[in-house]
Amino acid sequence: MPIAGRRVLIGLLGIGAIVLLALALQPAFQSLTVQILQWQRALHRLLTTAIMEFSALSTAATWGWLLGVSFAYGVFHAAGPGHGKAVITTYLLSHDSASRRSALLLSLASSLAQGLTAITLVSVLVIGLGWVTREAMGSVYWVEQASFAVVTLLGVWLCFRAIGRLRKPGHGGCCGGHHGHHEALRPPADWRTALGIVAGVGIRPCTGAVLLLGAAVLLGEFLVGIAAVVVMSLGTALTVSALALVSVHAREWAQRWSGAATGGVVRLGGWAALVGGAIIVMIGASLLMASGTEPVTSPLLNNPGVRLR
Amino acid sequence: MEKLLYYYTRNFALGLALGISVLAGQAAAHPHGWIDVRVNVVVDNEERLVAFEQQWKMDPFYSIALIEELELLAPDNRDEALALMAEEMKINLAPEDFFTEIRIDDESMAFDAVETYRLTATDSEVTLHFTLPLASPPVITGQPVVYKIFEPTYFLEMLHDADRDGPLPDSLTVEGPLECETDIEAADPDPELVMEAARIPIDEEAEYGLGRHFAETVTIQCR
Repeated sequence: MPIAGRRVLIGLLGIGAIVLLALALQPAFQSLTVQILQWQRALHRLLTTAIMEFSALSTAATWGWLLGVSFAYGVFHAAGPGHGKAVITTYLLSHDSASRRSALLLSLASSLAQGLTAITLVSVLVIGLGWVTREAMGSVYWVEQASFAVVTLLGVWLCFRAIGRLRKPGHGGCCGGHHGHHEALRPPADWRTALGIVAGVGIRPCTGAVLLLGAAVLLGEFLVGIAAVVVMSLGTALTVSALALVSVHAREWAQRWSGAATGGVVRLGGWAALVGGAIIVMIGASLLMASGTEPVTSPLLNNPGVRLR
Repeated sequence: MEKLLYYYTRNFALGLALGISVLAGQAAAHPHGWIDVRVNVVVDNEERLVAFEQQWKMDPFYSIALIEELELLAPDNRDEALALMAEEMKINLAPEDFFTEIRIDDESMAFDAVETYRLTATDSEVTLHFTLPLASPPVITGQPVVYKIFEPTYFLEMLHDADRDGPLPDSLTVEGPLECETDIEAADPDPELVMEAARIPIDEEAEYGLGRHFAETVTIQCR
């Protein structure tokens, strides 16, 4: 099969080119990351001043400004690197059961779950239990650890599923070339996996959202804070969805090449799913061992729990 | 065919791993608070640099969070609450040299213990005032003093108090007998170094210094 062989070769060259391009673009990528960091920093300041201004004088203009800044904060917050996006893109890149529609739903659900966690956290700890704001901020560390644990378990679960898929009889990698059949052989999208992803990603609230809600409580504007966080989550969903769609497209492109060449798309899909699961385990485990991705409290004072109780 | 399949899968996995390490491995977090810094450099009559008097104005979110706690610390005695909180800040900041790094002729200056410190609070603003004395005050005529003030983890951004046009003139003053020129240079972070700093986990404090790359560099040249 000289034609199929050539297509595989072209496919391999294509992937090689992408890897080289990624390496060549590394400096540009680094500059972009630092640029995004600067935008995030500016938006954090704008968000802080926006809610202070709103609290001082609530008009339609300060409302609009606060919600606008919150949305932009969400969009740019998600534009930087983060483990949530890494988990979602890995899953979408490696699992051929994920459609564009499920990619969009996953992104939206995970982003909204993040906002919901922040709202729940502040409602329970600050309003319910009477913790001071800084203490609630400190608890983000533990929630983050829980999120990493869920991500690790999710990866293990995906690995087991992939192994099960690879062992199924009749789905061997022999060169059948029965086009059209592999659509039917795709495993269905699974709500348990989706739930795992949404939980793993969504449990970790954005520190900025918790901070905003804490400030909103202190300013006596909790409902305004909730509105701002929901809008922020929608902004996050926008960015994550875009990334998710790109992932699905990239995977479909890769599948077309490999599938056309070998006919072994199902078996290959099984291997890809296994690799994806393993990478997700690695992401979760390495974050668990690194004890946190970022500081969650200011270093000037100790955790108030130490002193006030 | 099996061989090709193997190569394909391997390449796919490598590409995937590369993409993931790019996405997840480099978590450079933006600051979640800031401090507006004012510095008064104290020079004595023998032209020696003796101390850095500093004022740190906390951002509005952190300020209102602290004011909430001041009320809990000592409900009827604001002065006592402020003193307690200032004490705790001093204890936490002392091992960090109050986030201040001073160099003369590329040599890092050592500090004496901070004895003068207090916290002040309005309805919406908390400010820490302190005097950071140099352990062995150097004569500074003729050689530039270069300093940076930054919080290493970059949870807090520390910049000289500024408005839209840049640092306020009174955010840096030099007190004493000398004629001095001052220059506050904004950070121009090197993306590669920032990424490198961001990759180091926060528990390895000795090397972790994302904040350094975003710090202003201040030069004082006295005659």
